[in-house]
Amino acid sequence: MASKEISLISSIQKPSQLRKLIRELDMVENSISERRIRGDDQTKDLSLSFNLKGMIKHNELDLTNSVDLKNLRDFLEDLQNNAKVMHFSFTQPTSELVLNKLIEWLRKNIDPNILLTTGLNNSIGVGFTLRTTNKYFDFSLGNILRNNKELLVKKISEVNKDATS
Amino acid sequence: MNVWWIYTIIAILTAFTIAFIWLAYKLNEIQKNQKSPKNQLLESLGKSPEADVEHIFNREFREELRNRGRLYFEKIIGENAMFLQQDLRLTTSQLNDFMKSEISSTLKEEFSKYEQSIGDAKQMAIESIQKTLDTLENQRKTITEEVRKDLDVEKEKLIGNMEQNMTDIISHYLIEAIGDQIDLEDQLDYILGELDQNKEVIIEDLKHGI
Repeated sequence: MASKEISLISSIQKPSQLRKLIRELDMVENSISERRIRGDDQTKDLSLSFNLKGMIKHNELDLTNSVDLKNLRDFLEDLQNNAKVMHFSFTQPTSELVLNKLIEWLRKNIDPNILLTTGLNNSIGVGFTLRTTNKYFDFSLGNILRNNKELLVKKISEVNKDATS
Repeated sequence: MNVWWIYTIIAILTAFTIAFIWLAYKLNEIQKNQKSPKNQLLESLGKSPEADVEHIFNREFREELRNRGRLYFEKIIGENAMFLQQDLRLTTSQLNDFMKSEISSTLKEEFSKYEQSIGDAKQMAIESIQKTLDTLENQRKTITEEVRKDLDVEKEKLIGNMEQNMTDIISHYLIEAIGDQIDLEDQLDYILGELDQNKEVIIEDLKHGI
């Protein structure tokens, strides 16, 4: 039987969430295994996090199916080791809407399993900075102003000329 | 000169005396030969020449001769002394003039040499001062040029710093002023737009990144 193609849900956005999911999956696997040994219902009253539930539902997985569990684990571990991560810096803390929009765009245009991290940087002002594996992108207002410094100098010179004439 | 003059005068006087004596003798002889009555008388009166001579050149005559000789000698002496005096005065005067002219010419020559040396020294001093002034002028120009260059460099540096700092100040001002005023959700279009513009670069980097 061919393994199902597993993909991340949009609510799993950061590497920390991934690590947490993997730890939770460990606990769930252990719990299910214990219940199996005891002969209890493996998934009854099993407390799962939103992300784990979402992953199971989105990928149509069966927790009682060891293959599914294994595939999920393998997927998550592989992602933990090899996922592409992009780091965004903003002046303000990001809201859930912004993160969702970002991750949606990134997974649609860059990589379906990409993860991101966010940070704060007061010097940015408007805009953001982005750090990928080897590159650094500055899309901040400060950078825009620096790139247009000559325009500012030119305008100041024009103002000075008008003032002195 | 004085000794020669004295010798000359003495010689002249001696010659006059001898001449006078000789003349007197000859006159006497002539008188004797003319046989004038007086002579005859005298001849007849004195027969020996010694006696005649003695008779003619008696003491008074000799005394007269001596007096006349003395007077003539004194006159000659006086005249020659006068000549000598005049000559001496002339010589002294000429000597004074000569000394004056010599000293004047020597002094003039020395003064002209001194003036020449003074002039040369002055000219050398002027040339030395001029060289020093030229050197100072060149150094002044060099230093002025270097100072101007340094000032230009400094000015450019200051202008650059001012431009750099001004833009930074304005940047910081804008960031501080409006940085917190614009919500991230309002910036979302800008953020996604920038990501879209640089999508290929990002994909390439992630593809080849470690």
